Amino acid sequence: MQAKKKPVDTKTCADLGVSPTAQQVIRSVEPVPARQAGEIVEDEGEGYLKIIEKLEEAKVI
Amino acid sequence: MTTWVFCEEQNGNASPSALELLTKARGWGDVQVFYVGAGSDTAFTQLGDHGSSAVHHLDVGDRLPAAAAAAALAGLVGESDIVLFGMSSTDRDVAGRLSARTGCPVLANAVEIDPSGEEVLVTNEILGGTTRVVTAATAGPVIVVARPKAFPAEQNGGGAPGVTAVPTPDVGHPGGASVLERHVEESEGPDLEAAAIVIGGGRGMGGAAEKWEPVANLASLLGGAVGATRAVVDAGWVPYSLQIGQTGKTVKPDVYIACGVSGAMQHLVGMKDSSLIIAINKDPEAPIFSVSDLGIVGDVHKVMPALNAALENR
Repeated sequence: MQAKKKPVDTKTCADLGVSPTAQQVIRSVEPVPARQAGEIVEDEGEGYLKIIEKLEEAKVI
Repeated sequence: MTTWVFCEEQNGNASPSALELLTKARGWGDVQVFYVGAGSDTAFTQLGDHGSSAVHHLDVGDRLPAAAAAAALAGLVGESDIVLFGMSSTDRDVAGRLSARTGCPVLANAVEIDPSGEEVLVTNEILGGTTRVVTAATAGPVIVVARPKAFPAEQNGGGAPGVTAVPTPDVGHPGGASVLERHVEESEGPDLEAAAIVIGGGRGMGGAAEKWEPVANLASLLGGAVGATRAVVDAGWVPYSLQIGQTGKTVKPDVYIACGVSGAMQHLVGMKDSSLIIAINKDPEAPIFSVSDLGIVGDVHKVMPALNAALENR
């Protein structure tokens, strides 16, 4: 309630001696192409073999 | 037009961001480095090997460098120049101060920079990496802060650059802060941000130390680094230095294996640019599967021990 009694002083940019101008302009806005989802496998106890296969394909093992 | 790349010395080496930015910018024309640190031939050679023609070296000793660096840099750059920064705290500190000194905007979070047209176009990603915004500055020099790993660092055998010492400008009070102590976080295995293989563990791993073991085991079997989601770090299971995501580290490995990671946007932005993404999660609706090349819907505590055992036997 105390806050409501406080005076609100409005100033313009000119009062403060500044003249803001936008120096950054937006040229375009576009959605990022979504990454394609790959293969989804339900694990029936053999799911790890799929991972090994993928790692072999990627030549990391 | 000259492109300036800011580089802060890190343990006697050039910062990774400087090498990435040099690789990006060297095709545009002349690229010079503004270097802050004690100075090391190793670092200067790295910068030359990545395309820098000249290095301007500022050594402020134990002082915090940003205020002096910005003042010195402001005296070197011209209106038609581009000044590139990484995202370390010193990089950002200098970029902000340079902006104030030159009256030019900072184009932050850049993932692409294109100076080939009439104006320098800077692309950044907003809304959790789902939308790309291209911006330009109407006043120069154009100050850009680039995201880590936005560009790969590659040598081009440029040889040692000429090094010029930059006198420390007197910036009064702001230049007075000193570094009193440095702490290095101990870690094992490859550096998370540089590793070719990263194993990311999420909340689905469960809290107890032994439940986290499959992640560490898989990392050591593949020679990879361990990372984690924010939830895991917030829960105190692993240190903050392992956090991958918007408020953590950005990784771009050849292979990322997400274990018990649901794939909150905050995490995805830190790893979605990995070459190959494999995810294991019991929830088939988990968002991580939408960015995965291979998704295994199953219990991490069944799939991972089987995977680790199979890898051990190879």
